[in-house]
Amino acid sequence: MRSFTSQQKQLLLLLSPATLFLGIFFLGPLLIMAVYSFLEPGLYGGVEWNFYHWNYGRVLGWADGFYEEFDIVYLQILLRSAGLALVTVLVTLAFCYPVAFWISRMQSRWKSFCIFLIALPFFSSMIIRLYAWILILRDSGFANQILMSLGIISEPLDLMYSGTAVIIGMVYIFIPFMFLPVYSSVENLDPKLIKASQDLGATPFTTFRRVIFPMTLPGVVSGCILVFIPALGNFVVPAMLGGAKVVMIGNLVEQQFLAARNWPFGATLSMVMIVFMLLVVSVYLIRAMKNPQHS
Amino acid sequence: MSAQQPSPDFLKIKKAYRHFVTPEGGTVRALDGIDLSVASNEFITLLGPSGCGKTTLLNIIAGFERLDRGEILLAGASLLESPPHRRPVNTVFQSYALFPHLNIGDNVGYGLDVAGVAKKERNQRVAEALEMVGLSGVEKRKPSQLSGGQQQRVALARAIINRPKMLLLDEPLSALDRNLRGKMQIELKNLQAELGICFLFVTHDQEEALTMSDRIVVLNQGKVEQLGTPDEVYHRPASRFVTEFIGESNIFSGTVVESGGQLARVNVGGTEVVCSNHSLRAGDEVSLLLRPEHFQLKPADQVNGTNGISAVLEQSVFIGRDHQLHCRMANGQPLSALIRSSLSGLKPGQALTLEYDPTAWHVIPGASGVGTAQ
Ligand SMILES: Nc1ncnc2c1ncn2[C@@H]1O[C@H](COP(=O)(O)OP(=O)(O)O)[C@@H](O)[C@H]1O
Ligand SMILES: [Mg+2]
Repeated sequence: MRSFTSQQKQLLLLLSPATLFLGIFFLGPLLIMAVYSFLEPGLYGGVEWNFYHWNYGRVLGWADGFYEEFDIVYLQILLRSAGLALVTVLVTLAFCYPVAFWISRMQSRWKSFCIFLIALPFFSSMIIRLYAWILILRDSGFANQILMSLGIISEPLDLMYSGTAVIIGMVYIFIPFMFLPVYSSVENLDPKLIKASQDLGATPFTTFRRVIFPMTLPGVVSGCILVFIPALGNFVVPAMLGGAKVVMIGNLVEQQFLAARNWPFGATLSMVMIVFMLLVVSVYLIRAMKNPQHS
Repeated sequence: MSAQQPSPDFLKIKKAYRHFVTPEGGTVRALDGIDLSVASNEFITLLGPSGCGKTTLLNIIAGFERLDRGEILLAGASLLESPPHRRPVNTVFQSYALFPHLNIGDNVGYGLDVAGVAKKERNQRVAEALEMVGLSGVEKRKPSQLSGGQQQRVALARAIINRPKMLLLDEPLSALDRNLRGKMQIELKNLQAELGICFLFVTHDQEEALTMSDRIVVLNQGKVEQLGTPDEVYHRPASRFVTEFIGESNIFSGTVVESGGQLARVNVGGTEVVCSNHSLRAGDEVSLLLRPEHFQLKPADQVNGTNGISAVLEQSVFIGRDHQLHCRMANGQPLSALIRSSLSGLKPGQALTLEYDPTAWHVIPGASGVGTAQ
């Protein structure tokens, strides 16, 4: 047992409201979910209080052990969702990184204006913004009209209800989450360091590799985590832009709770997703703990 | 290293112009026709007030800014076409610009690493460079773990490790406290002599410039006001601007009353001053300059009439070895004199006669000199 110094006791006392809040409203539900994932589904929703391990069995491929074939469809959906989240991360990063440099070089009033533009979507509902994307992407939408009037295509492209539409929607939704941390690390990068590197004989590429990238890496990593985690669990975008064709892990969870009314299985899927995310993030967290002044 | 013959035209800047458009829409002439030749082993200082174009000139030599027009030659070849990473000059930046994510060894070795120098030679040269700046054995530390003075030395070591032909230093000492600064001034000068390369040093501190330089370039609003040795710049300032910027000086505008032979008499607002005759004619407008230390305090009865100025003491300030006297002349103009403290014991309000050597006056034709008018 550790004994606390009076300073540590004071700190504990000060932090206790926050701890209590987190305990009740964050860990509590998590605990309920963990427990439910080991219970038998009730016939009309809810749970039967019997230990039941087939929820996890089903995720891993063995349905109830009786009448279904071995099928890893749920793991495939999880991996596909992870792949989609990864693509979202890469596309938002590829967009935000150069734009962050570009904006950081602007005069200050233009800077503020551009950052305001990036944050502007937060002012309206995500559902409405996704409806706007339906108007753009559907067969008779703006995208097809413009492409056809320019003579680039003759037939409307089948953009809606596809993986492409989901990626476009996800990238659109998550750009601010990537941009803000990346921008703040770019903005804090002293231009003198770039000059110093060039002055010492480094080509622009070497300067990027040895100075610019390592110095902005913390912002890039934060941005990637901030996009990856909610993108993995997102179900609104696939539901609206992907139609029935693109089922993501988030949709699956939603369906289990709201349509199939199989709460334990929904809880199990969520638990698997959480463990998966923790694994991904822990790679970064372990590095950050080894090298504290970098993060 | 210093064995080769110094060439007097190592760095040649010809008619260099550079302007900037300010955010308000005005134009600033940061460089307004700079001409300059620097020798290959010279410690040369750019001295001028803030905003006179010193950093701009360094940036252009290093390759971070372009010229509007003009030419810069280094060892006979134009510099302007090469990108910064191919120029044989290195820079010590105003705020050091050490890489915070690299340790000291990697900071100093950066230039060698990007050039692909082998590990063994690289480590040896890093150790040598750190030793040269008097900072051995800190390779593993991060820049944030060093004091300002130590960071300064790291920046120096990093800049000399590529063996540049010329080192550019942008106010490298301005962030250090006074004592450390004095020490670093001497060390920098020694380092320059040891390396035998040209140091182009920027400062806005005239004392620093006078202490360290072989020659000083006094800049004002993008123009060279004077180029000369510290002695020339201090004792024979080319313009009123230089006089006012370098050291304290008494500056009087007056009209020549009479000239003949070696001396001329000048009427300064009712007070007559005798100075040496620089082919002046009666009626000419001139500016007269005299450093405070060139006045001598004499008991009233010993002054030989003409070579003294009467003034009333307003304040006497003890500054170590000397007393600084702030006086007012009969015509109302202020006058400053530096007198040995042992001679002091004066009281404000006391009438004094301050004697001078007529040849000590520095005479600039024209009422306000070349520089700023009063
Ligand atoms: N990038 C720039 N944009 C606009 N004006 C500039 C820029 N760089 C320098 N200036 C202006 O040019 C003048 C000279 O600047 P600088 O060379 O930095 O002066 P110093 O180093 O002597 O203090 C200043 O008036 C400064 O405001
Ligand atoms: Mg400057």
